[in-house]
Amino acid sequence: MELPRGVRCHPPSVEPWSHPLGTVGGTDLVHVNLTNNETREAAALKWLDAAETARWRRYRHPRPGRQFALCRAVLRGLLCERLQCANEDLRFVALEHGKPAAFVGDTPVPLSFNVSHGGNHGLIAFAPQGRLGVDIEERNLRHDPDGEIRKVFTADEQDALASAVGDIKTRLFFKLCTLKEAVIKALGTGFSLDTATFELPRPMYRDGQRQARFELPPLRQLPRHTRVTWRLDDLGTDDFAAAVARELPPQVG
Amino acid sequence: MSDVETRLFSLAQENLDLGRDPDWDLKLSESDLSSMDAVAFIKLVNHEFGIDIPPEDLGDIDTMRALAKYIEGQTA
Repeated sequence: MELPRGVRCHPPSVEPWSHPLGTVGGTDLVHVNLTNNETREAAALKWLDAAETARWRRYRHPRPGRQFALCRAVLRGLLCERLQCANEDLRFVALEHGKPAAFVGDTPVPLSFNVSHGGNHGLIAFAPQGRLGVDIEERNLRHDPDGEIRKVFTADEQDALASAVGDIKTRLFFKLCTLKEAVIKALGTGFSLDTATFELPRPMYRDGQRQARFELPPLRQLPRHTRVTWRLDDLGTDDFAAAVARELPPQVG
Repeated sequence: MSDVETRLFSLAQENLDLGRDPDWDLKLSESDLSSMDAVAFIKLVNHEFGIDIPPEDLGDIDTMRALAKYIEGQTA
């Protein structure tokens, strides 16, 4: 099942379930439509290898299986297109905390990527280099933002959240969550990094700023701390909350 | 289920939007649980069981069953 030049992963008979969202700071973003659609899911499954199909079968409930299959098929198609490789030559391995890494044969792919899904929305990001993390969520409040969940934020982030009301509070809660999740995913630390131990750039959660650069403080969970500048973008729309975190290359000169 | 598993099961049902009963042996990295939800859940677990799981131990806890065993070891 070699992917010819310029052909995306959607077979001609199936309506595409992804579209480009644009580029921010050199990071290309693609939205994936994860609404329930058996035709799309069946088409997506044809693009998965044996290990991915086995993983899909392990999901006991349809929603996470659908999210995984539809996103992974699009990721495979886009990587094949960018790398000009055959789908069969592409394989994924999970790093320590589940972050996927891709190989063509035995060679790591020469670009950064990350995938997120939340509800009916998927998000895939590509960058030429540097650690990269994305997150996308539907704004369905499952928690009282001022309840126990607030402890995943720093004191100042909690204060900003406590001061907000109504829809603004909901949007701020998801903005904070997606930005922090994007950072964690870029670092690849999973839930071993306590998100209350680092504070997001204040203008992003106090003044509505949508893009900022910041440095993580030295953290116990990150023993090999080196100074790294990160670019954070709030990608939220009326339909979803989303964010991307990207490690910037060191400044030259 | 042990007492710890029963309490953990209730905590997960009440606080994680899994849309299903918790799967004891599913790898957390393969669940649709976000890291933020997982961080919040670990804070709840610490509070509920009166423990403080250090970050270096979290790397070895890859399933809900492993979390239950860890708690049993800490509270025995």
